[in-house]
Amino acid sequence: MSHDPKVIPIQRARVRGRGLCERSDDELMELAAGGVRDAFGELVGRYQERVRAFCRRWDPERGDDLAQEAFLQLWAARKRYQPRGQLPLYLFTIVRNRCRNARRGWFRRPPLEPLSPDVSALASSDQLDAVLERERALRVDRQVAQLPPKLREAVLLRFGEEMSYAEIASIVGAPEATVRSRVFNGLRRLQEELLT
Amino acid sequence: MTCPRTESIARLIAEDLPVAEARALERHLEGCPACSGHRAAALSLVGSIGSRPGVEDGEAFVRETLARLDRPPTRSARWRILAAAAVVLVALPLGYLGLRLGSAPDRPGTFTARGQRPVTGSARLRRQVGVEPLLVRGLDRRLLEDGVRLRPADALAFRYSNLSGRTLRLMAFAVDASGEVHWFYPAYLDAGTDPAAVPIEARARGKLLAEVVQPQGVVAGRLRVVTLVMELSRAMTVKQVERLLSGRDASASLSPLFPAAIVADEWTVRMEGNADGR
Repeated sequence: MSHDPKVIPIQRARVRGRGLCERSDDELMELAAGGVRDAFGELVGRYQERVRAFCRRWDPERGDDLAQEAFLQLWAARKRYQPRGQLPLYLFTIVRNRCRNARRGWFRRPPLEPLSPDVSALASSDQLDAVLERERALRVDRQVAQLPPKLREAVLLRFGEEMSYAEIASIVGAPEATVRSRVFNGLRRLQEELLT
Repeated sequence: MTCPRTESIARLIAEDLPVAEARALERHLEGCPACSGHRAAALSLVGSIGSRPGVEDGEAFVRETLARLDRPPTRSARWRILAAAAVVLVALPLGYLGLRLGSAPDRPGTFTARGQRPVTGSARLRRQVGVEPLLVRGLDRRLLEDGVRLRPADALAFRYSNLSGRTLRLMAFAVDASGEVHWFYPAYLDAGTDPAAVPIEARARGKLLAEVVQPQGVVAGRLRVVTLVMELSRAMTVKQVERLLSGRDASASLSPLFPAAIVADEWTVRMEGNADGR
């Protein structure tokens, strides 16, 4: 777009009456680059569930912090973003790097904790199925969190985010064949831990 | 029942087999119960990874993220650790010197060895947040200590510090010998409501919460004062806490009842009887 992004997109949004929720990711990023916080808030709302789920599985203790830090990095990079309709790839590259870097901390993390315990569900005795399903999901999440980082990111992007191998290869910077092999090895390890 | 080809199932699901081998395995699956069962289990596992349970309170997450946009970027953990180490290296000799000169204030009772209590909660939050109950007796105000005897006219106040750099949530309550829960924060005055944990903003220096609360109708005997600190996204409500405490008395530690991500601290004191014998 050739106009000044600081003013005109906002005015156009008002004139056309299009809400932020109707705008594409690229339009929202452009508005965010012009300083429109609500546009960025719309993006955060649009992707927070996916990003938080990824980050919580990566690090059950710091998951939401990592997710928030990733969004802050996206905000910091908003003016460098090239609108090519690939925000999910851009965002998950940030998310993946943030998670990988977090593991380089000097302190070892404490033992895994349950993911966002739903207290009301646990307190209700007539929701046994839901509790059992939740227990199973927790076991899976714990095992995923214990995979080596290269396998973990491949498994989470493939099965958690349902990304194509080409997209995952772009995010992790590895050939597609390598990514396929990592997904296979990750899945095999999970099967060994959970299904045998 | 086993089949040597079950080992290839994960490779099939990962799309890591050559096309011809994948087709051959698909044909094999139609007639092999062991392999088809194995594939069903593996697909269920994959489906579990694909589900996203428990990502709650999205609006609060968005609000908190937007609120952080204005804050200066935090230094990396490594720099924080180096800075902390430098402070310790400087402070230790100075503190020792101060003690030697007799100038360091000797105030027993103003420091609580946290390790003496059951350790629960997020280790990270525990390093960043501290909550101290204060016993208010007339004009006197002092830290609440285990074993102290409370009088019916005594009140409690709460002080916190929050070095996390973001707003967290706090709850404070006491459970008396009969199992009755007495709420300090949030205020719980109407049974028809279900107030949530109160926000505590980021603050390096201790801040006193606004209200001094005198619990009413506390049964004489053991009284456990409990504080909970949690992330905004995990904020609990009064009724959720009360469900967890339901049927419990104050004879055992209450901290382990709470989800592991919540920092729970407790103090065990004794409530003296009222004049009417309660």
